Amino acid sequence: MLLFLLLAKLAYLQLVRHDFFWRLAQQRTFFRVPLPAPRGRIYDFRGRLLAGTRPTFNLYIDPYYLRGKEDKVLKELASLLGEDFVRLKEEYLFKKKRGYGEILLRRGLDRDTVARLEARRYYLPGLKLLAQPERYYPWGREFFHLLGYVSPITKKELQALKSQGYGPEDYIGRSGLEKLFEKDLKGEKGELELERDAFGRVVKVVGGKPPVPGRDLYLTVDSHLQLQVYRLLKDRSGAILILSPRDGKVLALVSSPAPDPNQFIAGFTPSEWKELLKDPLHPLLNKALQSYHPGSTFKPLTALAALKAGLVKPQEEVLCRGFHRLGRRVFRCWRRWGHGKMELIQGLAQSCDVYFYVLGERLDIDYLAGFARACGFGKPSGLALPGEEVGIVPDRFWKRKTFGDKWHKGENLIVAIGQGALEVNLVQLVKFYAALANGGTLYRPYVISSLKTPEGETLKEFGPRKEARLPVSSYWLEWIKRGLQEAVNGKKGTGRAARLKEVVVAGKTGTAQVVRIKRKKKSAPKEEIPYEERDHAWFVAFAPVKDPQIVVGVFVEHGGHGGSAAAPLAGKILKTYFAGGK
Amino acid sequence: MKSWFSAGPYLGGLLFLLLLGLVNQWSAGGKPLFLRQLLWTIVGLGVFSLAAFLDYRRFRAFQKLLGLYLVFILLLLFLAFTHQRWLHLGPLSIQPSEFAKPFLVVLLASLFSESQEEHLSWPLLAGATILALGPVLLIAISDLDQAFLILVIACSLILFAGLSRKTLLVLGAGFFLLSTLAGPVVWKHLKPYQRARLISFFKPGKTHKRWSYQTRQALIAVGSGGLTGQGFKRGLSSRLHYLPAKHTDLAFAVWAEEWGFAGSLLVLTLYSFILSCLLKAAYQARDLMGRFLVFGAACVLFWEIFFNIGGVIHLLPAASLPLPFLSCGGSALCSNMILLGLATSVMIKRFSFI
Ligand SMILES: [Zn+2]
Repeated sequence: MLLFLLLAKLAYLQLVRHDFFWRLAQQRTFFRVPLPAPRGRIYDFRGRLLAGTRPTFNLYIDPYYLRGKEDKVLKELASLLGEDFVRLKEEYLFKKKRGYGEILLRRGLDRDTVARLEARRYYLPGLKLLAQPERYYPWGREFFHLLGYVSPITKKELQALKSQGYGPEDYIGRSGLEKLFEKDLKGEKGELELERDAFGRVVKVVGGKPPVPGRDLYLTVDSHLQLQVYRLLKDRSGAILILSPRDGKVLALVSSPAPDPNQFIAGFTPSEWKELLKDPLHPLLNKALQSYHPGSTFKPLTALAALKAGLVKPQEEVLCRGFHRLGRRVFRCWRRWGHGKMELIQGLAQSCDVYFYVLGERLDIDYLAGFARACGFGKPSGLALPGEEVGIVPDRFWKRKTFGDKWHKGENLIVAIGQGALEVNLVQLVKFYAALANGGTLYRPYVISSLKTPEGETLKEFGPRKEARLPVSSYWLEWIKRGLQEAVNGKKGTGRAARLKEVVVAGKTGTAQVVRIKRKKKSAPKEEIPYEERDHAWFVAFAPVKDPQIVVGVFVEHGGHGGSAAAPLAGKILKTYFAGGK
Repeated sequence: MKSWFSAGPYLGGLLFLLLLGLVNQWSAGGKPLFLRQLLWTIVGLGVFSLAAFLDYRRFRAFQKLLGLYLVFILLLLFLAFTHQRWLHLGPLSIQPSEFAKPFLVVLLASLFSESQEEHLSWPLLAGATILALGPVLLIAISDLDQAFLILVIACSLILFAGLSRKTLLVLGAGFFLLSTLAGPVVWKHLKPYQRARLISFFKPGKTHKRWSYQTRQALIAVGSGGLTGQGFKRGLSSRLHYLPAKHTDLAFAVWAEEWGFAGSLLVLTLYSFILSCLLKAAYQARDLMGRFLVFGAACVLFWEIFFNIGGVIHLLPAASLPLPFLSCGGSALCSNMILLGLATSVMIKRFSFI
């Protein structure tokens, strides 16, 4: 009988292929909605909030309820949002085609808009306003380069990161600590399992799991100090790093100028974004991590290398007549009429170029480069913030590799005063000065003190880490410290602007030439030189000299002279720091 | 009374099926449809007992029936010209095409019972063809599936009545010639959805992506039922409206989803039980008229079941036909109940010789 045929096929469908059809039924009926996890918060060392999450109102719309009256509802919505109807509809149709169920149409609505929409709710069927967690920064620009920022995930990233649980509505950490600790901060998404009917309506919630909020970061940074320091740099391009020489803790790290990280969440208009990219002060670059010529701030290292090798005695006098001759070339001191007789301390204090030309002539470049690397230059500083340039410590091998040329003795002299091919970043420099200050220990700079759960349970503690010791005896370090002390406090010191009454400060100025001297009109006042050709100003200081508590490194891009542009800032920072009764 | 007693199991099976139909409508259509179906079931039972107590031998008077037939044809003609399937009489909606089946069965039975020979004579065959083609053609205009079903039923009856080998050969050849000639013409005049159904069925390499929405949802519903089903009123497909026409054409999918293979087996067993009862009664019938009547009823039932379930489980192209007893619909139920009532009448008259 033919009925057996029916029975056979039924048995096949219901018994043999049951799993297959059951799966199809499941796929068709159930769907999962991700529940965003609040991003971990970031606090300073006193527990002040630097980055948190707050509820923001997102506008969802369910196309099912719009059937047949899309135009009417969208027109109403467009007028309430103050947007163009045609563009809103285009966006709506595009998103509708892409997804199933509710569409995320707008996020980050302000309170007024929310109130307006709520009032007209009756005319807007299918509309849903959901409060969802979103990143916000109570302070804006001051912490931009340290914390970084988050912004919506791109399509390309989504493809690569889908397996890690990212969705199209997620934000992702872009720079600074937000990027470095993305995995810890982002938390774990929850989800809601929903049952939907043939028309895409949600019938009921079947199950799911709650989201796990991200972990909280506690920093070593003092937010008061950070805010003051940023204010000092205001309108100037540059960076300031403050370390504790005792353990390498970062107390403040700013780079200026900086955009407001909150704006990356709301989004820039194309013209705003273009302006940001075209800004000559490069607000998006963290200048503490960019490498520049260190200028005279490198001289203590040259001196240490020479002292260690026995190429100079601290008391040895060198005559500065304003220039130094090597073969047919003439190397000029920054003081064109010369410094007269210079020994180590005055050479450092007055930053006499000729004194260091002489040391440079005596030194072998490979030895000097090796010494610099042992002091932490030419390699990552250990702070681990994304985007660090490690700089260049030139030697014979480097010259051959880069230019296919052999090293000239004259280049020794240039490197000895921190110019030429030599490039360092602020973090490396301040780390080195911290080691000078603390008697020779190179601490790895660190900015995270602990990682905690949202409930306050400590997951991981970060402490000081000794990386290495400076390759010289503390006896030579004492000589250098005396030189740096003289540079700030001596009558003819270059860093007198950083002098304080209450505490003894030691420090070193630096003026890094951007353009070769010959091309520059020498006596031209600062204002007449184009901005891009002005020198970079450096100043690194520590205090008190007897038992240093703080190292301050100031870098002012195209700021001019270190003594006049950078040292006063360091002076102000030290003054407030010690006045604050730390 | 003895006769009634012997028909007991058959009646029991029928009542059980009616009950299952009500249960299924309760799940598929909810309360309002359930109540409607309940009402129709009661009406159907009334019609059934009326037909069962009627003496079928009265229908032998072929000429009287012919008059009624002509009225019916006129009704169909009216509907065909107004492109309607339904006849609205106040709150009632009747689908006259459903009643073509009992009408035709009775007519053909009474016609064939005139035959004295083993094979149908040419004039009888011609008469039967004309009788059948009338409603078939008229119904085909608005409801092709139904027309096809009636054609199949009529052919079955004619074949059952018996044809000589020669006639069979001639008819076979004629049918072949006709279908090759008329096939393309018919194809052209099919509605797009009907064509799509046929294509989707006959296309090689059928993957589940090529299935039409209806077939796909029906198969998912049936397949996800498994052995024991998802439970009364808990079928995902029917509860969440994934099944279109779930209380009519796809009523079996609802049933199979909620009661699983066990439920399907039960329903099919009941159907085959009733069919076997009918076939047995056909052979035991006292006269030719009764035999043809009962066999006709069995035919109608069988082809309806076969085309409906076959369509649901993708054994045949999907057809828009109701499943006897399980689908909602008063006309279909009444028409089936008339036929089964008549068949019962034949069964119980088996022993009376009045
Ligand atoms: Zn000099």
